[in-house]
Amino acid sequence: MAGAGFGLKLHDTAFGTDHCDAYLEWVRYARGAYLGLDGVEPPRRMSMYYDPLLDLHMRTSVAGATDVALFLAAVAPGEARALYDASVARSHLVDADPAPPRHPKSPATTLLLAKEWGLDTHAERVAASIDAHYEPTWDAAAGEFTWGLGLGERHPRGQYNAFLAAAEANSEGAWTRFAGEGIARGEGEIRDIDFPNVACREAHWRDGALHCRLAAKRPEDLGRPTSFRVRGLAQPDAWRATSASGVRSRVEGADLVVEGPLSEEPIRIGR
Amino acid sequence: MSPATALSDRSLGWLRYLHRKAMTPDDWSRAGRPHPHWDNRSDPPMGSWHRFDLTDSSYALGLMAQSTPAWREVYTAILDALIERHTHWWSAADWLTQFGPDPDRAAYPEVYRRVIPEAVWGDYDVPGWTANGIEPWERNLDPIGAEAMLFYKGFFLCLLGVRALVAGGERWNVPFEMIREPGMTFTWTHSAIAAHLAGQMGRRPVGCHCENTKIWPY
Repeated sequence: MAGAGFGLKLHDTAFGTDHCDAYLEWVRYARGAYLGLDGVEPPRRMSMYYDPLLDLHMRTSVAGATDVALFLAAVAPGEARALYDASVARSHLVDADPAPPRHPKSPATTLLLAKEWGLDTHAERVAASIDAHYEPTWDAAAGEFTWGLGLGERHPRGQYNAFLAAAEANSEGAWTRFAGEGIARGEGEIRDIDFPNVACREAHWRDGALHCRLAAKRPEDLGRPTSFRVRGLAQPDAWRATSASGVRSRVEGADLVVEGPLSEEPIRIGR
Repeated sequence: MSPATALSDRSLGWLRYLHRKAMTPDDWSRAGRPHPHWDNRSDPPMGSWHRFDLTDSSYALGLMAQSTPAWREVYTAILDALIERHTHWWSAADWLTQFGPDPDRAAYPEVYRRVIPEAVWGDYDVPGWTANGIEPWERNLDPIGAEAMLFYKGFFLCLLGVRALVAGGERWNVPFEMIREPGMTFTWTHSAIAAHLAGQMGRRPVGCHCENTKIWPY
């Protein structure tokens, strides 16, 4: 239910609907019926699932409840935080001497939420635990990063890698802001980057200018010629790219074309 | 810890990996088989289905797009590749093959005791067995239209929602086909799925079924 509610929230944000209201009604019911959040003490157990035909609950430890809290965080933050607190009290993943993680998803969702709420000490502890137990791995030639998880498999486990990658990418308030506001867009956007050889480490609008910083797949690629376009500018000929790396810009059709040696120096595109 | 305006080396490295994974051609139709790099191994018997890899992989992309809002083309391409796969038969392989009670329910391995109540052990479907067609619902081959399969349509909504917020909602809010097999083609839009699910939630205050007869807080 929590994942589906998050999906409704994203739709509401994208299209201005209010479908999430039906889900919030369920959250109010679930506080006591499934999540154990209706008492004075934090819950120790919660419903893994409920069979309404048999009126039967399968209960489980609340230690893994960050998986639920993740999806609640952007919709019902009070319930999410209560579940997080109950979870880490049982999982000991963020203790001063953290317990070894028992499953990759829980430390991933714990890290994502700790970052979300600015719980820096929690984030540092669980991040260190993830690094110690889940085999962060670089493929230098491909410029690819994954977590091997100690499984010795040819293909990294996608589901666990996905949550670990989300935790890596999160920052304070970002998960909630994404679900509630979406992406803040500016006048134009960068297109036709030579990905995966080149990527944008930074690309955002600030003070009326587009600020970006490129990233090379391999250090030896630095200095090679590269280019990208900025599309969507109302008057592209009024814009110019500048950087200590010596980029040039020119107008081609409706786009501003930025070209020069591949560098990780900041690039400013302004009027 | 302040809001990030830059992607870490690790995020960039994982983005390159996911891009290669998503852009490697494979066939999710009934006659085909997803590439083995799509994860159908984690957390059996509930999570060991390829579609969860598709939806789970989208969350990092939404967060990365917040750090580089003026550069989203790669996220968009990946998200569309994930969604496109999710419209094929393999995304619902459980729902389209697990009909009625599980014939193996009396012979489950001991490890399943962790997910089945003791009172019904030996005569109860393990979570993950979707049990299409058992009471209280009739057999329905449409995993979105069905009364159950919340964990199909709900997480698909997450994937569609991330795409809509990263790159706009127009691409998948026009009618598109799901499952796409003879006798099993169903037409939906992003907003139609959301409205359908909200309606189901409104009618079922205790929650919607994922597998038939099981309501999951998750």
